[in-house]
Amino acid sequence: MKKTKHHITTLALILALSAIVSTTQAQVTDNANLRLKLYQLAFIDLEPDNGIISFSLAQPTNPGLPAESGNNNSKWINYSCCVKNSKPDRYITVEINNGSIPPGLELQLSASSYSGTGAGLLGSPSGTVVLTAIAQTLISGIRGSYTGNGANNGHQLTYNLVITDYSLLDYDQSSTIQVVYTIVD
Amino acid sequence: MKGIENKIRHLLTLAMFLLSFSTLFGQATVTVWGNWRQNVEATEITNAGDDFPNVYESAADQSRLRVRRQPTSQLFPWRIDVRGDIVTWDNRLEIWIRRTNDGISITPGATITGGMVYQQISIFDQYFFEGNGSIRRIALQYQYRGVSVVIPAKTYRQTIVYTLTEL
Repeated sequence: MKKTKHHITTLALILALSAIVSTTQAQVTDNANLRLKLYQLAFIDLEPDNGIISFSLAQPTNPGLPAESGNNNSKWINYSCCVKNSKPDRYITVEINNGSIPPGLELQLSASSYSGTGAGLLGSPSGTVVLTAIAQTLISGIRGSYTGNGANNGHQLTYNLVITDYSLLDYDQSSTIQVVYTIVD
Repeated sequence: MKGIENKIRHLLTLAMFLLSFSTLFGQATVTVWGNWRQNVEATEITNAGDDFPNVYESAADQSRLRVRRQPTSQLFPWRIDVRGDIVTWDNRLEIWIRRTNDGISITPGATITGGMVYQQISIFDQYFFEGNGSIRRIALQYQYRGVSVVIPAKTYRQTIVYTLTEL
């Protein structure tokens, strides 16, 4: 009997305390759901523009010396890239899309290491390539990154027009070629 | 013996009184309407080499919050805390929140203060704003900060939890 009374007393105390708590310090919650979806993207362009670059073989400074071959480093390659974790690295290829190099010559191309105002996991140059109609990797290892926009951002491109066979050179011959850069995922 | 029985009776009476008081006057509740979905697509970038805009802002009243207790004629002090429960997230992303209006008073003379300046939401409860009495349509605005192409493409989610405490 005593035990029962003790239990009732305890119960009454608990009830009283919980009632006091519930009337003085109620705490409730509600939620809002926020969702941010980032999509994959890959953009590439040439800066300061994608205008024509002209090369010409300069006369040697002295008879008997080789002709001066042409070079140009006025272009920069910019890109922005957003990638899923599950996807492989992206890379940039280069190829001649239209036209051909005159006989006796080859056009070499290399990209500098990254510099500029960008951030992220930027690509690395793959070394000098000799341009052909077959796509070759110029920059690899690109993940989520952006180079910054404009000249002096990204990878500086250096073209070298090299004489490979003097016997095939034709004084009057000229050619226009179109070079295409592709960011591949 | 009778003394003990009387004490028990008094305690039970007190408990019943307080419980019925609590039921009659009700517990204050917080209710939130409005979620936020933001897509960041390739069209956000117009020049290769650029990043996504780093900040995205919701509508000024993206979520609406109501604090209410019966009877609604009664003033009662309260406080709202806010936190973000991570579902899927990247630590470089931030969520910021602010209150953009004072809501509409249900209780005559209801007041509300604080929360008008953007504050970053963390995984821990932190003070957001406080008031007195029942108020509805308190407008809340969010920002995502730190958005960038360097963050892996994915759907990121957080549940924003609003906790009402009667003071």
